[in-house]
Amino acid sequence: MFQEDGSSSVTSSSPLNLMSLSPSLVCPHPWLKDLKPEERGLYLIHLLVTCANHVASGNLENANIALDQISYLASPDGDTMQRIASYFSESLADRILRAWPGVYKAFRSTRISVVAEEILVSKMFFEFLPFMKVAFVISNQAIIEAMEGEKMVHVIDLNATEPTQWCALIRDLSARPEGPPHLKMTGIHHKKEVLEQMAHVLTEEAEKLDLPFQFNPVVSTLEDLDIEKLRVKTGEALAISSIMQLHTLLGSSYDPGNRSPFQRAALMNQGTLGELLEKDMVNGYSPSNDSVSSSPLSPNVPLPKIEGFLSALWGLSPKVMVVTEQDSDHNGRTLMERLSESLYYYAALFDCLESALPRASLERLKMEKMILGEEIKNIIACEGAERKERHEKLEKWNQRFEFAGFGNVPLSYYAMLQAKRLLQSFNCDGYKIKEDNGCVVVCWQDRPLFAVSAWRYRR
Amino acid sequence: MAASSSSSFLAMREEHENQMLQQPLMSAVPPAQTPPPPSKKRRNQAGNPNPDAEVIALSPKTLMATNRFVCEVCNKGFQREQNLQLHRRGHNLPWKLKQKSSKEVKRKVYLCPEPTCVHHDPARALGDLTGIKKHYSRKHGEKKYKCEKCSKKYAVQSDWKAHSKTCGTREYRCDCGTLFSRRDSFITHRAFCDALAQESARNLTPPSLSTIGSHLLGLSQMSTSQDQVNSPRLSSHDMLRLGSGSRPSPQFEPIMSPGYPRSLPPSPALFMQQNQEEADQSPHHHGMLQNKSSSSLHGLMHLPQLQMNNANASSSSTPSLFNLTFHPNNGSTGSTIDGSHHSGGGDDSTLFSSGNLMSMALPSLYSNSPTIQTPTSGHMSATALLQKAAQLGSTTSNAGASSSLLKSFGKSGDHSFGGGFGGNNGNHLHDLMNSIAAAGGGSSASMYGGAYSGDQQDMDEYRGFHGDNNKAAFDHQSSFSSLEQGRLTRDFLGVGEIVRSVREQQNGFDMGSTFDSQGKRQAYGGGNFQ
Repeated sequence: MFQEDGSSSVTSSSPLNLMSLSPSLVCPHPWLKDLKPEERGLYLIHLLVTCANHVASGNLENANIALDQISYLASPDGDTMQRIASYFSESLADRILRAWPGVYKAFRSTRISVVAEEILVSKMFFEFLPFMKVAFVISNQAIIEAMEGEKMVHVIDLNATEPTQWCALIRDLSARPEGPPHLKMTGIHHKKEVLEQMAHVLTEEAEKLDLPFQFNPVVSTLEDLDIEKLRVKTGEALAISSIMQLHTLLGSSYDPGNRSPFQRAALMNQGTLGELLEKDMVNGYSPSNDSVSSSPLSPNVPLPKIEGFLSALWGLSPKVMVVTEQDSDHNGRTLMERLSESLYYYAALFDCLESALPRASLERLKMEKMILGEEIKNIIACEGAERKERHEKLEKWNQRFEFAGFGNVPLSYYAMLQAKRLLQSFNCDGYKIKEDNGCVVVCWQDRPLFAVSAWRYRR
Repeated sequence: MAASSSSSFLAMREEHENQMLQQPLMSAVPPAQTPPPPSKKRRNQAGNPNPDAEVIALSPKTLMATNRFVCEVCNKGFQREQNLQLHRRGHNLPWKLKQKSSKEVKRKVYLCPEPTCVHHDPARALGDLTGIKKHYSRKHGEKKYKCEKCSKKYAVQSDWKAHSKTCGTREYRCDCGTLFSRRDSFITHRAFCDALAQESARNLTPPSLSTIGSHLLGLSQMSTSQDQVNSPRLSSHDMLRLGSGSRPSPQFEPIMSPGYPRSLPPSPALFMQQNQEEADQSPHHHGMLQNKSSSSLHGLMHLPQLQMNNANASSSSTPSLFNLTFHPNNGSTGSTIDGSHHSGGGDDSTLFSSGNLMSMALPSLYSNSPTIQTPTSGHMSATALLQKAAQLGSTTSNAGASSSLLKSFGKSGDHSFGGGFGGNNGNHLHDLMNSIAAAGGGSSASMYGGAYSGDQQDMDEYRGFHGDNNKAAFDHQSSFSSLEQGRLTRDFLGVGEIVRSVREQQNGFDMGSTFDSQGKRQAYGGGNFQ
C-alpha cells in the first residue's frame, strides 16, 4: 500500500478546494480527524520518526503501517507540518520502493519533467524567499571589493541560471569610480538554452551601460567539468561564484562495476528483502563522506569528487571565491541522522514559505513540491552517487576550504548591511542574519539555513 | 569616352587606363611638372549609399597628384583651383573664381582606381575626395613615413603624425607581448589571443604558428589605425613577438569596449578567415562572437563616462526581479551620496560619503517582494512543533539538537509526552509512546494494532490522549497484548488484505513467509541503511 501521490492533481484542482488533495479513502479512524492541529503535528512527527526507524531497520510492514497513518493526517495543502509530513512520507515510500527496482522504475516511468516549469519554479524561489537575493548581494559585494582596481575581471558562475545576479554586478561595476573593468563571464550549466538566454540578457545589459563584456558559455555538469574549458588566463583577476552547487560533489565517485548492486545481491542469493535492505545493496555503497580513510590503493576506495574539484579551482588562483551553501548536516551516514536534521531544516523552510505565501497559493505548492520536496526526497531516499543534496554545516565547509588551500576572506560589514536591509524589505520577522567567523548566515528564527562565505587563493 | 551602360565595361576601361598610368605613378609624386590628365566622370546610379550621387572615378595619377592646378606662367602648382585663380591675379591674367554653384550641390562619390579594391565598386564608393585619396595612399600606396620610436610606417602624413603623438604614451600589453596604444584594439586582440595562444600551445606546428602570426599581425596593425591595410607579409618584428614565449605580467589598462574584430569594417577579409579559424577550433568563442557582433561598434564608438553611467543607471527602470533601480525613496542619482536614503543613520553615511563604488551598490538590490502576510493565528509553526516534540521526549536538555528528536521517540523518557496537551493524562500516553518506541521490530505492529483499534476501550485511551480520560497505564498495556490477536486481525482487515494481495502477486520474491498477519514479525535485523 503505497502513499498516494495526491499532489499530481495540483494543477487542475481549485486551490480553494482543500479536500481535493486529502486522502480519499474513508478513514477507519475517525478520531484522527478530531485532532487539533498541534496534536496532529506532534503525532505526525512521531509517525515520521517511527516510520523512518522501521525503514532503517528493514521493518517494512511497520513502516507501511506508519505511512498509512500518516496518509490520513498529512496533506500537501494543509498546514506546515502536514505538508512537511507529506513530502517526508513520500520520500520514505520512495526509499522503500527502491527495494523493488522493477516496480520503482515502472512507477516513475511516465514522469514528465517540464523544463519551463522548473525554471519558473526556481524563479519563484528567488522571488518569494530572500535567500537567493541575499546570496547574490553578498557575493556581488565580495566580488566588487576583491576586484577593486582590477581592469580585467573574469567571473565564473558554477551554475548560471539566474542572470539577475550578474546584471546587478554589471551595474555596480560600471558605476564604480575608477571606471568599469572589462568583464568576462563564464557560465556553467548542463543546458545550452539556459546559457544562451543568460548570455543574451547579460550582453544586453552590458551594452546599455557600455561595459566591455564577454560571455563564455560552458555546457557541462560540474562533475564532468573540464577546467580547461573555463579559459582562465594567467594573471587574470578571477572570481568564482558557487551558489548551492558544491554539496553535489560531496559524493564519491565509486564505480561498483557493471552489474547493479541488486543483481549482485540476487546472485548471492540473499534470502529476505530485509537482509537485502539491511546490506543496502540496492542503493549502492555509500562510504563515509568525511575523510578518505580507506587506503587509496584499494580498488574499491571511493574518491571524493569535491577534493579534486576544489584543488582544480585552487589551481586557477582565484582572487575571490564566494560560496553559498545550505547550513545543515544532511550528509549523515545513517538515515535517522539525516531524517532528524532535515526535519528541522525543512520545517524552517516550510515555515518561511508559510509566512511568505498563503496556503492556497499555487506558487507555494509548486515550490514546496518541486524544490523542497525533491531535495527531501534526494536526502531521504537516495544513496551513493545518486544522492546529490549532501548539505553540510558551515564549519565543515570551512575546514574543507582551508584544507584545499584557500584562505578565508571575511565578508565586509557593508555586505552584511546590505543583506540585512534586503531581509528587512521582506517584512518578515522570522528572518535573522548573523555573522560567524567572517561568514554570513541567514537564519529562520534560530535555525541557520544558508551560509555565505568568501575565500581566496592562498599559497 | 562614350557613355556605357554597363559599369563593368567602364571598370575595364578604367583598369586599362590605370595600368597605363600605374608605373609612372608609383615612383613618386611629381611636383606638378606634367599637366594632369583630365579626370573622368561617369554618371552611375547603381546602388551606392547616395543613389543620386555622381560617381567619379579618378585615375591614380589624378588622385595622387598634389598640385593639380598649375599656373601656366610660372608653373607653380596649387592644390586647389581657387588658389590658382587668386595666383593668376598676380600675373594680371584673367581669373575667375568659381562661385559656389547656386543650384544645390551635387553629391559626389569617388571610386578607388585600384581594381582589386573593394571600393572600386560603385556600390562601395567613398564619399569624400580627401578620403579616397588617403585610402588610396594607405592601401595601395607606398609607405614613406616612419615613426621614430617604433618601426611603424605610414603612407599618409597625417596618420604618421597622429601615431607619433601617441606612440609610447599609453600602452596596453597583452600576455603574448604585443603592445597596443588603443584600448579597443587591445581588447579585440585579447579576445582572440587567449584562444590563439592556447591553440599555439597545443598544436605547435608551423602552419598554425604562421596563421597565428598573421592574425596577430593583422590585429596589431589594426590596432594602430582602423583603415590601415593589412600587409600580407609577416614582419620580423611581429614574428619575434609571437615567438617570445614568455608572458610578461599584463599591464591592464581600462578597457572600454568589447571590440570584436568582426565588427570592424575595413578588413573583413582577414577576419573572415580568422573567424573561421576560430569557429573550427572553439565553438564557444564563435558563439560569443555572434552574441557580440551588434554591440561592438557601439562599444567602439562610445567612451563610457562615469557620470553618464550613473545617470543611466539611476534613470533606467529595469523590470528585473531584483529591482536594481535606486530606492524609490531616493530620488538622487548614485553619484550624490548622502545618508538620505539610508535608514541606518550617521555611521552609514560616513561609509558611503567617500563616493566609492559601494555607495553605488547600496540602493541597488532591494525588491519589496510581494509578501503576503498570512497570519497563522493560533497555529504552531513546524519549527515550534519539532522543538516541542524534542522537549517532550528528551531526558536531558532541550538543546534542540537533532538527536533529541530521536531520543524523544527512541528512549523511555521521564517526561510525559502528553504534557503539552495540558492534561493530566500524560502517564498512559507516555507509556504508550514508550511501548511503541521500545518495541523494536517485533511487537510494534501489535502496539499499533492496539493503539489504532476502533474499539471503544481504545477510543477511551485515545480520549486519554486528548486529555479526557485517565486510565492506568498498565491496564492498557495488558489490554493491548490481550487484544493483540483479535485487534490485529480486525484492524488490519483493510490494510492486511491489500498487503496480502500485493504479496501474492509478488511470487518471485521470497517474502511470503516473512509477512504474517498474525503478529509474528521477523525482525529484519538491526542494520541501517547507509
